[in-house]
Amino acid sequence: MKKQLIIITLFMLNAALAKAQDPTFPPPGTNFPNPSLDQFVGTWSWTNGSDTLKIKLKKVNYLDMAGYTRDALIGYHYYKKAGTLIESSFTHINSAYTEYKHTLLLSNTSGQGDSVLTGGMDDLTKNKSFSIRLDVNLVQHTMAMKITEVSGVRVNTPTPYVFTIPNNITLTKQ
Amino acid sequence: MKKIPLNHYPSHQRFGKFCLLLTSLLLFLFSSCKKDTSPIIEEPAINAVEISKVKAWFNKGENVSLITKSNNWLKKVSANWSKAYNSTVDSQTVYEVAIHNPNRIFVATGTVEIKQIEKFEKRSLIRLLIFEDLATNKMTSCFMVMVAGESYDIKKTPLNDLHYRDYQNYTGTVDFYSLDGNFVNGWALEQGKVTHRKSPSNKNSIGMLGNKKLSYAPIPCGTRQELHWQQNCVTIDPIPGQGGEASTTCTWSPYYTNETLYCESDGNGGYTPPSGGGGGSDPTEPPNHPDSLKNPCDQATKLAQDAKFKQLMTNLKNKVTDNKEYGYFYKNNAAGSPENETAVEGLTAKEGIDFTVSTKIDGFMHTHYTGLLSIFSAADIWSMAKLYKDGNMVNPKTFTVAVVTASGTQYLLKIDDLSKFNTYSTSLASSSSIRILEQALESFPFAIKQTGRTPDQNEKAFIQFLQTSKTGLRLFKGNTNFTEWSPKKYESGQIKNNPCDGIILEE
Repeated sequence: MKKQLIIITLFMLNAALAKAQDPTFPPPGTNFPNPSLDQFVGTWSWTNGSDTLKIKLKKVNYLDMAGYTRDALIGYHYYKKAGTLIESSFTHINSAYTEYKHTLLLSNTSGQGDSVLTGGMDDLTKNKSFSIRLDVNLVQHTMAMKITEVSGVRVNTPTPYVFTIPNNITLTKQ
Repeated sequence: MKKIPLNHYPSHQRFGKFCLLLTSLLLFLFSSCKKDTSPIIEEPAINAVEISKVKAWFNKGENVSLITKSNNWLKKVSANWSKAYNSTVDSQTVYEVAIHNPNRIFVATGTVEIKQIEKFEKRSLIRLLIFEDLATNKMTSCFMVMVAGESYDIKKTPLNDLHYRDYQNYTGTVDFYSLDGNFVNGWALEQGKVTHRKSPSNKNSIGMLGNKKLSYAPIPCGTRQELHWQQNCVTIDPIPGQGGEASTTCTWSPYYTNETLYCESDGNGGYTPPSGGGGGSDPTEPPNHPDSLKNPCDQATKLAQDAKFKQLMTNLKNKVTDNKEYGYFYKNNAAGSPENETAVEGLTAKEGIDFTVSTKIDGFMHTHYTGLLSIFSAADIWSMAKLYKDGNMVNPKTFTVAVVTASGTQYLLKIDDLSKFNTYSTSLASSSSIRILEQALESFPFAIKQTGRTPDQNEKAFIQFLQTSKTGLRLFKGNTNFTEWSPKKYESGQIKNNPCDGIILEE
């Protein structure tokens, strides 16, 4: 009888635990590592005459808004136009994620394949964020950059579809 | 695994099985025989949104203070919201709610024989009624008390089966009491037809009254006293150290007398609120203004009835196949309906929609055209937070964000916890936080995306994100013609309704 009671108790406990766990959404605190991001770490640059855009990417593991920790790429950028520095976050290149001095946040976890990075980037001059997509060619060590406005409602933000940095360009890994 | 008949087990195992079966049987019997003296009113069920709205209105301090008045003979009853019924009578929705009646209060119109008191108890029914005017949404409330006449067969048609102004073949009285226990009006019926109108005679008294013969001379008019009975129980604990068990003794007694004037009359058998409304909405605010609805589910219900709101949403729905986003931002008029809306639109083939507000607004609504998200985007949440932090909301408690999409979905987003939303908005204060928010929504496990995900998957993930991220926001899913907005939550792998029970938004 005692054995049966123990078995029943264990069964009920197991059923309760099974109910509490949701395989679709792991509990907050879960870590999502992403080793594939390592191949994008480094400095990427684009030059057109005296115009230069440099992006430096580094991998971090950070706590996101929903309570998960995950690997991602943060980045810093440097933009010179006609030889004049327009904007740069390179001065914060050694800052930690939690200082929020980086100007890019990227990942390839959105299901578009390991060689496509998506995320957001800051326009320091216009004080706004926009969406960025980088299609990386790992053989040629290049990445095609496309920037767009963040989709959705944008209240009291600067003129849409006007960006400080150039769009539709290809950067090469240094 | 091979099955073994019960009698093939060794004796100690058989005994174990027997105990298990016996325990299960006892548990079953215990749960099914648990006494509940509340009337059972189960069909048709009221949807959770409706009951939540009515409950929120009823639980206002104004109503509660009336019921809990010291001289109210009904002060010991409370609403049993799990047993409710609604119907439409004339231009009102009538919600009938069973009561919790711990003292087994009942009313009798004749002499009660103590030995058979439970028979008399079964011939009386007390129910809470809440009336909502369909045009103004104003609510009033009262108690309905039915006392079956001697000739009425309660086994054939139980009192529980009768409803406000749907008295079938009922013979007896139907009385209406205000929430403070005062008799308002009533009717005597014979075979379902009104024979007498009842009105107060102003000779009520409280006290332990005798079980006396009650006067009754209703032709053409006469008075009659009705005794209100209750049961009081006293439990005596055993004396410490002397063993024994606690003993409970219950006694019945009449504790309130109500005298009413009967006059021959016909009538509809309904409630006639006393002049002054008998407990309407908050007098400091227009009854129809959303400020009087401090519960987001109540507000959503009101939007489902708001012709202008529905019209604006319909306008947008008709444009979801264009390749640009459209929207409105608006302020509400005194009745809480959108007015002087400003139409806005995005750029052709460019995601997003931009607008600038220089004054406070009550909400905004917009489209997601073909190929865009089937639910709110990160920027939608971010803009809501920005409007809040910048002081651009007329009233955060009632602010509404809406989206209608080419995927056939329509949603509202409303604040259901101001404290949490305040904290969450602070975390989104910088312009760069939008990319962090977007990253969180797009990344595993939420993976809310425009392509490769079904609207159901996006909806499930969005709700889970709202919950996990402690946003203080609640999602409402609309039907195709915007006449219903259902609050949603994600639980145990499923999307479920999420009524706003007990939510009263205060600054």
